[in-house]
Amino acid sequence: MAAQYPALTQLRKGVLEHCVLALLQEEERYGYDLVTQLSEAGLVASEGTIYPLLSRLRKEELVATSWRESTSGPPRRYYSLTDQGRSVLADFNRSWTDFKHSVDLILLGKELR
Amino acid sequence: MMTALDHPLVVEYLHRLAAESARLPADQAAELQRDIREHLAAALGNDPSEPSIREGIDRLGMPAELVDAAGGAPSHQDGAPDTNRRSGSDDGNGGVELAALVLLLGAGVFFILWPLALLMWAVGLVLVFRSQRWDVGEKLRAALVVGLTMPLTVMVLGLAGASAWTQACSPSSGGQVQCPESGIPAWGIVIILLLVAYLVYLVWTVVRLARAARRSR
Repeated sequence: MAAQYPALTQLRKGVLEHCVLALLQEEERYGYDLVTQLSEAGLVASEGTIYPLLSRLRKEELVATSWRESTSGPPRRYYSLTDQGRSVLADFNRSWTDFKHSVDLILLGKELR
Repeated sequence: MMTALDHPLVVEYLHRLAAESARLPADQAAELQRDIREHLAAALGNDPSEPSIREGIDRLGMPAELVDAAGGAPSHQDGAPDTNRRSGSDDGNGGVELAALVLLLGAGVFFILWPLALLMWAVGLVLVFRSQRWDVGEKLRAALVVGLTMPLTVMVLGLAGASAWTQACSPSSGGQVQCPESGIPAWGIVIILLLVAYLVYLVWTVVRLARAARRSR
């Protein structure tokens, strides 16, 4: 894996939980499915560290969980977005758009309007 | 057929995760281990090759890293004392929980010394809710089932006293002593049966809670 800037690690940490919420906005998913998506997007270095995050989101009632039997192993815990999680995600989306716009302007050397 | 979770490499990884999870509260440790088992089962499928198992485990990360991400207390290997384990309020061997059980049961036994019993009961309940080893369900069972011992003892003895008073022989207006019919009324039998059921459930609950308090982390 290529060397990573410390800033990138911090950025990942800051956005990761909202990316999890975003992945759940259309459909519920089980843990491995979420981890795979985030890993492929380059958002996690160690896949296992997502599970403590999912546990925290569940305790904060931003996601809900349900168990389903699996044909290929132990039962799977499925995650879905709660109304509270949806609201937090909507707030983040608005903030992110403004934040991204501001950073882009500075990086591109343009004046903020 | 050997599943991926039975492979020696996976067993060894899960064993190391269980050891590292001792730095977490019991419910968090159990949840993390269950999630990782589920992940490995989904990631490796049936009859995986050894390279794919190694890759799957590498992608998961080191057990210590996972426990750190879950907010585990620093380990001794980090050079830090283990005093922060379970928010620093646990005595490390379930002593708080066992003290809570003893106090709540003792309050029921020594109810006649009501100032002492009340103090034991209140301190017992505080310890129940300060417990770092019991989960929410166990705390509720401790408070509702074991904590009920003292109020129930007082209530039952009060009822028995009132019943004895109303059934006592008393002189009638004609100078004859009248006694009500002897024997236990139907409602009395129901209460006795309920009490027996409660006592059985109480013993079972205390045993379960004591085991939960002493379980290995």
